[in-house]
Amino acid sequence: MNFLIRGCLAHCGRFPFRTTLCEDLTRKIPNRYAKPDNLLQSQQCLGKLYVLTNLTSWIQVRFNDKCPRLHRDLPMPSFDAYRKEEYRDVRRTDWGSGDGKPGYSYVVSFFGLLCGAYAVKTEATHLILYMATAADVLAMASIEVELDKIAPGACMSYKWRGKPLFIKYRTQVDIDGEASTPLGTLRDPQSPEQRMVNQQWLIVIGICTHLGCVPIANAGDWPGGFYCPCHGSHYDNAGRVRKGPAPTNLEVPPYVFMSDTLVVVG
Amino acid sequence: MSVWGTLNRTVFKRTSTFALAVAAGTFFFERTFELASVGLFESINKGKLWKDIAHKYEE
Repeated sequence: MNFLIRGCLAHCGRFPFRTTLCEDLTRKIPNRYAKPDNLLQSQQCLGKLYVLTNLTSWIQVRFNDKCPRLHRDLPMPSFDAYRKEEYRDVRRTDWGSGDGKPGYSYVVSFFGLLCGAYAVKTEATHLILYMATAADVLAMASIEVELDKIAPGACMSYKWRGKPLFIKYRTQVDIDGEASTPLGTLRDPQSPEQRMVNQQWLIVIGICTHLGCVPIANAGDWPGGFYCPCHGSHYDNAGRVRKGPAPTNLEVPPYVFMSDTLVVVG
Repeated sequence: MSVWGTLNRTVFKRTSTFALAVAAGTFFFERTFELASVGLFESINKGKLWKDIAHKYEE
């Protein structure tokens, strides 16, 4: 924002100085650090007394390398007075210099960095875990079903995440009836092996994929299948659409068999 | 040379080994810090924690 200061817009970006800022370099500055005099004498500025500054100026005025030199008129201070004799001349030091130093200051920063790394790790873990699903929500999001309460051929419905869940005990007749159905005749070709972990148990979400009605189990044109009364979609006993307007098969939720008679859905 | 000097020369002086030492040291620092803070918490709250009263409710 250098172009806004000291009314420089009124001067069309021509930034005038009343004195040369380099002028002071000719005067000796009392300095407690030993400094050679020739540093002070070579930078006297007698040229123009302004810099151009505007919105499209690429270089900030403080980096102006011609006169006036803003804030670069002070030479770098020398700290040689604080340095030990063997390290004062940097050209005479090498990688092995100072190998005998104990390096206590490194130890201080080492422990500081340990604390910092620990703090960053803890904060990051906290932030990330805070965005994860809460444990009570996770606990409510899955159900356990005891399969030994379902009679052969029957289909029980449960509520899972606000949706009806169908679990159907497929008899051997059901399994054999759909095992050899050619996939080419299906609208949404999926084999029974793709849709079921255990062929005896069909686990699907009981929502018709057409418009979301709840189909009726053990009804329709396919034995042991599902029939949606709203618009007449028929599903077979593997939950695959066979007839009617439904575009896809009944959705299979994620589930795991904990034992032969216990399944966890979700 | 002293132990400090050896440590300085082999680990601290080079930035790569220094960063490695910090990364490795953080594991031990974290474990130690957490054990110490949990120990402090349990010593301050002695008698109020479940493990202090569990014998009354569990057989």
